[in-house]
Amino acid sequence: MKKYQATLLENRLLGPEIYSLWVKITDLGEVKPGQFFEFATDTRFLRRAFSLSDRDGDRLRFVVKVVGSGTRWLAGLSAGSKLDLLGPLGEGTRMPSSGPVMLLAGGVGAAPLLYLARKLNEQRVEVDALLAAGTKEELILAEEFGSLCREVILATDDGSCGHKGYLTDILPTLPGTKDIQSFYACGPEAMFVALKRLNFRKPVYAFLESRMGCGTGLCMGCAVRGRDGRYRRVCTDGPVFDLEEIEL
Amino acid sequence: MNLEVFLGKSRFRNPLVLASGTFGYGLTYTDVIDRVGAFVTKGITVQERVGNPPPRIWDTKETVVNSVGLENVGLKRFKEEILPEIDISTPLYVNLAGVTIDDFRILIEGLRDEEKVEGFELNLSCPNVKEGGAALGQSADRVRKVASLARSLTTKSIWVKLTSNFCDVRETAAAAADAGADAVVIVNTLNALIIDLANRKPFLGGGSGGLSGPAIKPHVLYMVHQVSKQVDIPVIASGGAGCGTDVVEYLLAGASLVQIGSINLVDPQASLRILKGLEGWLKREGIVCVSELIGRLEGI
Repeated sequence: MKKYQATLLENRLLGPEIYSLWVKITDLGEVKPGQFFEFATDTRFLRRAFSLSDRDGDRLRFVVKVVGSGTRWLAGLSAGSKLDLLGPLGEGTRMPSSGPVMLLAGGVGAAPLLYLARKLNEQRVEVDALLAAGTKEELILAEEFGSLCREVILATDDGSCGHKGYLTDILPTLPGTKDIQSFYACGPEAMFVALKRLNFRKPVYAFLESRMGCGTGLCMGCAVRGRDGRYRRVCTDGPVFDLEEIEL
Repeated sequence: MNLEVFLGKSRFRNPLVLASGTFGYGLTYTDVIDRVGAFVTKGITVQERVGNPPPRIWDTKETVVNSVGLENVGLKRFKEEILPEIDISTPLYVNLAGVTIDDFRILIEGLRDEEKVEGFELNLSCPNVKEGGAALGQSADRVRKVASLARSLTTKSIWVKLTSNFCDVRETAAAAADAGADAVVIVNTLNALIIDLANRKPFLGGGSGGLSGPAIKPHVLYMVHQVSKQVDIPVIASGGAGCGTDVVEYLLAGASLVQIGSINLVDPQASLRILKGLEGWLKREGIVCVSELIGRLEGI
């Protein structure tokens, strides 16, 4: 973990209240999929955490959905702005030894899975993606996934694009998921709860989002309950967990 | 330039103390710990506590409200698993969070022979547990009882961390001093309630929480000043310090040491920046010994 002064290169609207930020950080080492950076903002005391969504050398991409004043401030920045970042933080995810794997994205949950797709691609692990969102406008990064995945399946709650229905309703109906060795999921909590009920016989790795304090394991502010009743730190024990190991 | 501060026989390399609950158990970021005056662990209870359900934290620009609920490994695991792993050159203070007076006996007896432990911070002020803690700290009689018991059990340093919630902290601080405490810590977080308007419920999983951060600094400065006039033992300030001049202000108000808390959550290396700021200020003002500043507030 290091503190970086980053420069915002591009800030572009991706969907309703969803922004794609490309920032430049020099002297950054390896970042694992699922690892995140903490962004200082002008409107909040604590930093706001965002998983790395993509990377091209010293250019890093993050997806910001506006949910409060901190994210509103970030969304309003223009190219050239300086950003104060801490990272990379968290353990990131374990990479699968073999494929194919399937990525399950709910809404902006697509963001960290894109970087995972890129890494899987580099390792020549076959990968499919099921991208779901409320509406067509909220489906993000589909094109980028298209360039990295064997197959990309789209779904929307209102049927405005792809299959109609929730990700967890569509997933069991898809042909060709039998050969999938593991699933990597990111989305709202309700999606994880529904995924748990589907009771796959394959591992499902959940990329969790949490209201965080420090992001560095010091404050114990971000907690997810483990199967043993003890809380885990989303920041330093995760943010990726075996879905079997956590209680939601 | 001399940044040393002495509290009785205890020497601190500088007046900064990493506050309990904001720097874990002292197993990480030890390069930072080794540069400050003292380190206080996360609060330890007799039994392991899982803590409060999430959400546990909330903030504005100038405040943090937390409701971690004293999640900790408990005395046994702290002693067996954590303490042997702590490798720091800075005085180690263990924050003890008793629910009952007898808990403090068990905690001190369990740790008083540990060489690595320089002293104890008695947590008589945590707002995030339903029982004990803060209730003990709200009455001068109970503070006296706990501090006397602690004094009778150990010769190690005893700091008493007090609350300003629902009590007169000048009286509880005087009681701690009477009982033989080495210092009082002013103050723990202020009681706070955050409302989830959409659901008309408390936002935090624990119901209520503790307020900290830069917004409480003026309140704590006042309390530190009041208490330092009242007691003749050292006062340790704890309340939203985030830069070198905040530390100077606390020293002037009467504090001998200044705890660094919430800002650690923004940057684990914040103390190094604060230290640099403090040194820069002293240099500009031509002050050779930081301890010269303690209690030198004028015109009040």
